[in-house]
Amino acid sequence: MVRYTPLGNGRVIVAFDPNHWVVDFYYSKAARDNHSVGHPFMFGISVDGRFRWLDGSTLREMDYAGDTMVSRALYAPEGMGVEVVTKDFVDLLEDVYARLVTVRDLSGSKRNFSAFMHQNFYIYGNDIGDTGIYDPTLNAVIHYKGARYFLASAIGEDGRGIDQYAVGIKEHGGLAGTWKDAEDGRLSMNPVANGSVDSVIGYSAELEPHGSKSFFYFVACGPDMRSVASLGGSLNWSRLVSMLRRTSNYWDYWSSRRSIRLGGDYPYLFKRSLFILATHLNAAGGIAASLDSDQLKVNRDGYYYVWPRDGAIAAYALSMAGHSSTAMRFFDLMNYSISDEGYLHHKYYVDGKLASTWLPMVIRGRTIMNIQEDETALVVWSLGEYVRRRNDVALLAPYYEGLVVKAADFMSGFVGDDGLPRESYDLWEERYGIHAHTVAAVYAALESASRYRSAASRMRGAFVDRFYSKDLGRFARAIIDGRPDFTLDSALLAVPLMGLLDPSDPRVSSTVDQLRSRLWIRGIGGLARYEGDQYMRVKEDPSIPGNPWVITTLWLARYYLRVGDVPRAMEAMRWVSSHAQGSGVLSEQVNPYDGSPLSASPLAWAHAELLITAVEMDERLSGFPQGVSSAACGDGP
Amino acid sequence: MRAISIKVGTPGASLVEVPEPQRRKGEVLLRTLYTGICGTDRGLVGNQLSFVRPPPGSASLVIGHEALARVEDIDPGIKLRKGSLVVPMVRRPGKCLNCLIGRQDNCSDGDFVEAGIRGLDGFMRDYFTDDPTYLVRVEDESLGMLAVLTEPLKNIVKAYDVYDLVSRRAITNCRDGSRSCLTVTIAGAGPIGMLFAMMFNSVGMDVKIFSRHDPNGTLSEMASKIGAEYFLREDRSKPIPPSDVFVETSGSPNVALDGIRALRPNGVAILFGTAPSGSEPVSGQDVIDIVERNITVIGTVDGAKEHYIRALSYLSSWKDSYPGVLKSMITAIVSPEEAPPILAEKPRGEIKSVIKWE
Repeated sequence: MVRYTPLGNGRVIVAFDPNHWVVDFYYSKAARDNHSVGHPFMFGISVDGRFRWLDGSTLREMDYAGDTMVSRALYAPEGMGVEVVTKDFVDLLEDVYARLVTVRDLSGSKRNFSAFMHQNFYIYGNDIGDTGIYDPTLNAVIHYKGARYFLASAIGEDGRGIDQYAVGIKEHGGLAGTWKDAEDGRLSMNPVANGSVDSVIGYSAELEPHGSKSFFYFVACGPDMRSVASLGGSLNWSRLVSMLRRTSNYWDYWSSRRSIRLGGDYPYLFKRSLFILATHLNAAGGIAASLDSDQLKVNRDGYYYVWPRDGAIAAYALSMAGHSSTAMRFFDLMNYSISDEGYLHHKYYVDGKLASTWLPMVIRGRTIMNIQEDETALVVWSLGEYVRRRNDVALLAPYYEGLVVKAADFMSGFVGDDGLPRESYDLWEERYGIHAHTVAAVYAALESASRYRSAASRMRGAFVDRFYSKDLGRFARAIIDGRPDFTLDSALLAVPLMGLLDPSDPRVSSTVDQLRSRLWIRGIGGLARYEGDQYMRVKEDPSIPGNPWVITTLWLARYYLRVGDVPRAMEAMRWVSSHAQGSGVLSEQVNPYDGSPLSASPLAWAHAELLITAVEMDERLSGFPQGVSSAACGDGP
Repeated sequence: MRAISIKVGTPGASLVEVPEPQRRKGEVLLRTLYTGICGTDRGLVGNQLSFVRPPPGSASLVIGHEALARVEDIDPGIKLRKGSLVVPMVRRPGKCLNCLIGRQDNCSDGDFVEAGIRGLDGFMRDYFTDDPTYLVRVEDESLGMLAVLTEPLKNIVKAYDVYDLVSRRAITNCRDGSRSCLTVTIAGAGPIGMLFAMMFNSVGMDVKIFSRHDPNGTLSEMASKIGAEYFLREDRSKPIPPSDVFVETSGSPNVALDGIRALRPNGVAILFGTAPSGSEPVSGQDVIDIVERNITVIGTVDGAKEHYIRALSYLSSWKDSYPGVLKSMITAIVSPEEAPPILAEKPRGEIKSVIKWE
């Protein structure tokens, strides 16, 4: 399920479902733990005794507010004679998630309303041993377990706080949850529960005819009772107004660092991609692949990890968009995470600790390296590009010995007799062999570290000799067990994009022509990963090579830009733009039949590729063209 | 349903009955709420603009390119919803590189169409259908009728962007990094001039604005509310004050040249207004002055979708920061039946007339 308008400050991250209810709530000093894991924090209203949940059927608008990381939603519950506007944000500095709620009467008569806010914590990702307790001294409900404390309350402009609460057991012993208690418009005022716990708090006010009332709902987060009580107790109306203003101003300024001269919806998507990437970057420098926890339901594992590949591309995108210092934190984390031998593992937790893997260390009795070597390579390449763009070699100093030399020594040594990289897993994490994408990435990394250029040059020669087939007029995607695999695979686009070969090389153009011809999805469009891709396949259908992916389609756009075919580049860009979800969210894949999003949404890598493509397009097409005479609507003499 | 159209090549506009549009899949059906009247509309009605052309296969053109509309019908799944307020974009892309990337405002070859101006019917009609790509949602619905100013304002937002870009060739900022020590002089105190004044005032520049007439003192009062200094310049004997930026909105060649001559070194002239008549000789000394003082002359037209979005954001902000000013710029609200004579001749004292359709 798509996660909309994610918000975060590197320690607290929230994301919303199609109802605009919080369903992922991350909090720790590195935003490592998800404390709601897809379970909704519901939001409802009772007007003159008539209650309803404000779900997707009442939601008219949901998007970032302007060019800032504040999520704005407009609910218009039919027949209730009110509209509700919410502005959600995670404060820039303090660990506070807050929502400014404005209820407006549309009926022209005096109204009484109560808003109900549901807290559905699964602290540390599970519902065992949680406590929820009402604290009358703070007029707030506090949920806690271990070193995670969450204080929920509300406050109006006149200083009034919540007037109802209920804490109870959920999804256990036949109990649905405390949220049921809200549906009669009155809460039980039960003050405590432990185990599997949820809670609801209520804020009530009177509306004048056509008048409106506003209040803040907030959740303060802390590592212990003292800190959360201190932070929660300090939140009054004026402080929350100030937090909303500073957060809004900061992100507005942050996102304007670089503008692009593309028209249409591209500037909109550009800024939203920046926000979405920013929410995936934590205070420790980790860039998560996706904060969408929906995959957990299917696989019991998800995308909330740092893949060095995805992170490197995201860091590169951020530096292209002018956010070099933001990107730098990622290299700090990689510097910390790289092995003594000079390679990076499959994936890491967002704080840099080794994460789960499905890559074996033994195949058919043979001990192997369970790595994807392109991940190590892309981190070095991305750092090289970062330094080149800033034109400041001093930036490299903290990473030179510990990361660049160590990784480049490993990569230049991890080669066969012909100079090609030795076998490792591919970027799709499916096959063990020597992969064209890996060769291109390692080549680009060694090229960027100048003293390894002779190894890079030898690698390029061996690649052409061993991967190209004159008969087929294309490159193999891999050599597996000594045999070339000529399956058409979009990952071959790395050959021109990483500079392994010139984009205008006829062998490259012939390969790309075949890729486009066989992988572009008839009807709905977009580029599939490779022929016969089974990952999340909707149904068996020989006419569909695989689901179209956002990143592969953007690779194609970037290739066409390099060869000057702007119409085809824009065709690919338009496809991506037209498959962005509300609030600009890009999913990993798209359903080839109905265009709906598939797999993780948002996917940080997809947003990073959009930023890279947009900047490359802006740079390659830069310069002001000649204007033509037109209606200018002057005021007249 | 009602529409205001012109017969291309013949002066005059008339209110006519036309069939209601049929929405096709992927399109949006829109109810026109307000349309603004601007100088281009009067140029079209007066048969003074050479670039006007009707839609293919038609001899007449529905005019109107400044509009606020409401979504009446839409496919499910499209990001807009029934009831959303939108501003439709005027210019639609051709095939050049700029058009391909959505920057038809910078069209390189003129192969574009413009709603209500060239090749595409405009918005002075009860209903129209459109591609959602060319609709800009009005987030702040409290703007109401004022959102009709989005279309003219987006031109100013783009013009400011272009000015900002070219001004970076030298250090033109003040010692504190701001632009508060810079003076901008604006020729023409109609809606475009006033919107330019608000734009430059909002970045802290010293704004002076002039026109030939100020009936009832309305313009000087409005300028004062914006924080600008208004002065009358009845004829060329009155000098234009030295400026860092000069904005010409009237389309008069002699005013344009006088303004350029008054620019300080590194000055920028923004030419925005167009008028088919008038001439002014350019002397050798003019050329010398332009060269020796690093003067830049900018021509700028239209704006991209991003400029519409930012224009809406400015309007939201300005309705609070310049209380009452935007509203007072709309000097008349008329029905479609009352519109043809107003389209033919500008009423005395008009700043902006608006047609109310619903």
